[in-house]
Amino acid sequence: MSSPADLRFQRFPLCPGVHLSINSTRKLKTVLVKLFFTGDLDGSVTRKVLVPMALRRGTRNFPTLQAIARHLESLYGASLADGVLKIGEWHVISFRLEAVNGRFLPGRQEVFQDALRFLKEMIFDPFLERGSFRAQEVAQEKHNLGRLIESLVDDKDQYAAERLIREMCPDEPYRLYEYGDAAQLPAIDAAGLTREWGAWVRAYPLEIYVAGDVEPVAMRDLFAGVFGEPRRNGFQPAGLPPPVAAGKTRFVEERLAVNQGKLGLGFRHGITYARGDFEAAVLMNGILGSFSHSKLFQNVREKASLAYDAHSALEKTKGLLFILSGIAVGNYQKALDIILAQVEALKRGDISEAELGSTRESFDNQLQMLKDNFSSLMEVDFVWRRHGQSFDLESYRRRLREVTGERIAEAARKLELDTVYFLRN
Amino acid sequence: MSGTVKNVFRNPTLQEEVQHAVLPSGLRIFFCPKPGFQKKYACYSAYYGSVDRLFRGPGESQPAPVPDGIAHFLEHTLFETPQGNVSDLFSRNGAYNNAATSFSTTTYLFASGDRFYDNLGLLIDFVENPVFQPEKVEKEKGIIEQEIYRYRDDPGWVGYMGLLESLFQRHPIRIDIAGTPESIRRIDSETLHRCYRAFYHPRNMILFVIGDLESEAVFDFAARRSKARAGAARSWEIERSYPPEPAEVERERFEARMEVALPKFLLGFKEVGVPSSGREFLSRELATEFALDFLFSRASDAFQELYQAQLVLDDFSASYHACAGIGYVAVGGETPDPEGLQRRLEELIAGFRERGLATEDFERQKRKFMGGFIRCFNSLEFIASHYTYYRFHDLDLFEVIDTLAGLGKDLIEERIQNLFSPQGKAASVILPKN
Repeated sequence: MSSPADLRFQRFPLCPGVHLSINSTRKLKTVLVKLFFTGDLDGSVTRKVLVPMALRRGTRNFPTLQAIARHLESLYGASLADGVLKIGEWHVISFRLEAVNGRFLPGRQEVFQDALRFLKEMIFDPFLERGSFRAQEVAQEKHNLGRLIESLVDDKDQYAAERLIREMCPDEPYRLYEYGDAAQLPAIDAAGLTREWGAWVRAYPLEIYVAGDVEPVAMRDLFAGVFGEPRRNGFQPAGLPPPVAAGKTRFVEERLAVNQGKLGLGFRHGITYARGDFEAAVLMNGILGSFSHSKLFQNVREKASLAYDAHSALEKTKGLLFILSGIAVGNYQKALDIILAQVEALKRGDISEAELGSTRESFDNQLQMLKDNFSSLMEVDFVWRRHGQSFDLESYRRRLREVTGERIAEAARKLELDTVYFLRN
Repeated sequence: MSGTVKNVFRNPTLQEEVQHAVLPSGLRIFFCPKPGFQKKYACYSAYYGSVDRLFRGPGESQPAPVPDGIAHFLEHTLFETPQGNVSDLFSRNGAYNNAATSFSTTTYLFASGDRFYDNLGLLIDFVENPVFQPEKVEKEKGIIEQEIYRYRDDPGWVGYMGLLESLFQRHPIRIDIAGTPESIRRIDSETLHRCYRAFYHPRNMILFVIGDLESEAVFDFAARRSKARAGAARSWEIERSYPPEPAEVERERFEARMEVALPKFLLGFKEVGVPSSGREFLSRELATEFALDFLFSRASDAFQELYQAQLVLDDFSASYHACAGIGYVAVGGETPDPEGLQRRLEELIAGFRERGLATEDFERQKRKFMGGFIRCFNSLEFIASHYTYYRFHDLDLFEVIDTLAGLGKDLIEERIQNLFSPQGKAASVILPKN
């Protein structure tokens, strides 16, 4: 059952601008489909996010939210969701469909084809009135999106992470929040939103992924029939963002009525999927703050008892690194000193055998287990491909295993502290 | 493997099986084979959670209370071994590990690709051989205090606990799982040890293993490794005391102001005298979830109306939870108008009780539940955690799908009639600061 073919997607061009990647596996009791439409992170972000929200409100044959929900229920609870991804300075709208494989259903009923047809209808054939989304529903969804954007503050970890980015990258598209800007909402109307839908739904490059106990050739033919329409006007997303140097470190403080402070640090290193010693940067971030054996968790939480959580995250398209920790407000300086000391230790190459060994083993196991996680595999494959790289899980595993302490220190020496953000009471 | 009994539970619809053995100590071990999967996963769970705060343990003469938050504190304490923090030891093998304490259970888990038995040995060893070092206990207080403050900034959690504090007058479900900074300061090694002796007995625990492994090897390894205080099987007894909970609520409304963009509203209804195990527990749980889904899911008339009226957003949901003799419904989400939403929800609920359930809706929903349940079996974590949960309630997870298939419309209508007792009603509101 576990054959090498299991690990890879078979990729077929369906037509110019549309590709289908298939992973045929018996591990899933469902058939899973993901669609990725790639655009740019720019002034259109808010409008683009609003489009799937308007699409959810009704299709030609299922004109209401309720009709759609009931239709999906009757297909044995097929699930259909949309999402937004920010990959560096690209803005990706995704759709995810999952339906139970007929071989588990009474009488082996086939629901996948109906579910797939519905996915297409929802994206390409929405309910339109005189060629436009309904004004009342667009108004409601504008309102909902506004609330969604504003409710970022409800989750203090996420809020602090976004605020750090905004402070750190004021002149880069990367500053934009992937759900958009509430201030832009009033200017959007139903007709304009319908134009936005038309502009991207048939123009943006489309990557389709499917996984399940399916026959690849039959799937390719099925998808070619459903999504085989060529992209119009050959839209191409922007190229990779150029590196930006960190200037003098900026310190930003913000006050809210919180019980716990959030300390965020933003660094630039410039290493990306396509530039520099990528594998070394991944290991460096692992040793610094991805795991419970990592320097941040060990020193901020376990030794100093200062925090419940302290971790780092690597941004791999622009070459950034973020550190975030929830601390008592009075411990700001203490926590900052300990965090910066960990970064300095990395730069000196102060990496123990245990740290290196545990980090290698942890990544190795993560990648091995990724082979069972088709939703993540799809996204990883898509993101690598976006950067012009092909994702070969086994060779990536091998490359990570070969990274030495010296290469990690070399990558760490590229870290320049750009911004320190503190959310406090 | 002498002295163990082995059963196999199979389900033809799901095309899954689970094998079962009991060690002489009383420890139950379950194994679910998953050919082809790279991930291997194990969880070791105790039927012990935050609600178990008043009990008479083995060899004790009187029920005595313990400080709030101690089950969760004990979970943290077990991570400290003489060889160092157990997460570091798992990390050396490349495994991911974690633990969680809920109202009624404590679970220790790991996932790994390679070196499964090294990790399984580690899991069994650290759960069965605790060390209560006073200085580590003191150190942990600082970390848990930050964990508590983190939750106090989480409006979702504050609103949820506010609802439970309002619905229940005496039942310990109204107390935060992590306790308070004050209650955890009263915790010491001795009290931790008392809780451990009482609840981490093999007869009160389940080890669940899932992955592409050899069945014999799994059971043999676990049987050899688990010392689990052999011979103690017959002497264990525990008396858990939950204070009698009246049908009336503590208060009708909880309100707090926090840094949120939009108010968060929950309407709750409590139930008392709820069966705590067996078929009755299961069919009640399923019928209640079914009823709530019928009334409030995205396909419902109520959601359609409330969403159109912009009284609710996409996060609107309804859930039911039963635990230690009580149960409760929580319905709500973000809203610009908590009072308006409450008024309309109460009117809608009164309407449901008059109208009942249409056959067409019932059949469609049954399909949705079946499909949703089958889909969950893609996840090793789901199988392990839910199998364990149902076993603690003297049920088999595979029974769920059969019970679902046989669920009658009358049972769901009974739930719609009796779920929403006016005297058991409370609301929780989180309002923005300004």
